[in-house]
Amino acid sequence: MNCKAAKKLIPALIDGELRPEKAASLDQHLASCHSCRQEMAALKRTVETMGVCGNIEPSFTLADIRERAAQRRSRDPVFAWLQQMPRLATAAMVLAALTAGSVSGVYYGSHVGSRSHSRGVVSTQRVSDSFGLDAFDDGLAGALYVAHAPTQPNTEVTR
Amino acid sequence: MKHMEDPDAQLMLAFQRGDESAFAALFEHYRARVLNTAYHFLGDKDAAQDVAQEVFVRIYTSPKTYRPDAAFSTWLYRVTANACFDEIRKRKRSTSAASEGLPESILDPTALPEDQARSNELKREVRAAVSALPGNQRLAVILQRYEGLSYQQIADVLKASVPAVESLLFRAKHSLRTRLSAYVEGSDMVGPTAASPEEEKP
Repeated sequence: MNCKAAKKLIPALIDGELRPEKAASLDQHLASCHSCRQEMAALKRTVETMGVCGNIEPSFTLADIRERAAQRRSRDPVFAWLQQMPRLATAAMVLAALTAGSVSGVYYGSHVGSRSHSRGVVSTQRVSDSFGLDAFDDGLAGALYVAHAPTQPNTEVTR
Repeated sequence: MKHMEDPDAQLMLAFQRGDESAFAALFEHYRARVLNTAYHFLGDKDAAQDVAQEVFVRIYTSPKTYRPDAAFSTWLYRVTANACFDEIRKRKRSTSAASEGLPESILDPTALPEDQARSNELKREVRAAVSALPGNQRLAVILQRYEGLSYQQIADVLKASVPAVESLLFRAKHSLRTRLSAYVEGSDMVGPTAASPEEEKP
């Protein structure tokens, strides 16, 4: 083992993280290399010196966390609602939205140029944007859109 | 889900199901660790208190973000690191911040006993040296030196390999050694990489 390789391993040796065979090889090198022994001693002293920065005590309590969380939720009710929604209910709504979206998309898509098509189907991206959601929430945005979509198709559509 | 045997993962999953006492248990267990990780990273007591609270607020308001494919402590350290990096970015945007991780101001050192003044100066220098490290090196050395994590645990937090962590720690400790050489007692430094020619091993 040369000095360059040894110096790279010294921190791990100090930290007790070297495998036994590597540690043995490094120990063998250190036994005959004054320079690397000095390097090791210097690193050990540095690590010890870092200990002068002790720990501090927490000044906050669990009540503080709950209060901050409540304040955050009250500032952003949509955020609070989305965070509380169980995953399963979200998945169910997404599935329902996708199904409804497919059906309405087929229905409206078959009437290009009709009055209902001119009103068009609002894209989930636009819904996402209006709710301030990221792209990965488009499924949920679709569910939100469906919840606000008209309940009946336009009866003036021609076939 | 390989971490189901982790008791803290179990507590977090219980909290996800609505058990508030589980969150309370995790809070008491990890409050000091989160705080001091932030403190050593940021070098600022007040910022550390604020960031540590932010970490727990994030967990409290978004419990579903935890998945038991990682140990709870690994995930918690990641959340803490992200909050620290967010704080650094916030400081950089702020017009009042001079640099990241400023050491705390102290009283006029000439008014203190000499030993205490020297001790304060050393603390300040250590904090400044740690704060001067690049983000991942800083995080790795804090997790290893102050939190006592193994290289594997640090690798899990950083989503890196163990050799990558070894490299981070080698560079970090080398930088710290160089920067703190004047303060390390009994130091008789040789050059950082040179060995005397007759001792150089092929």
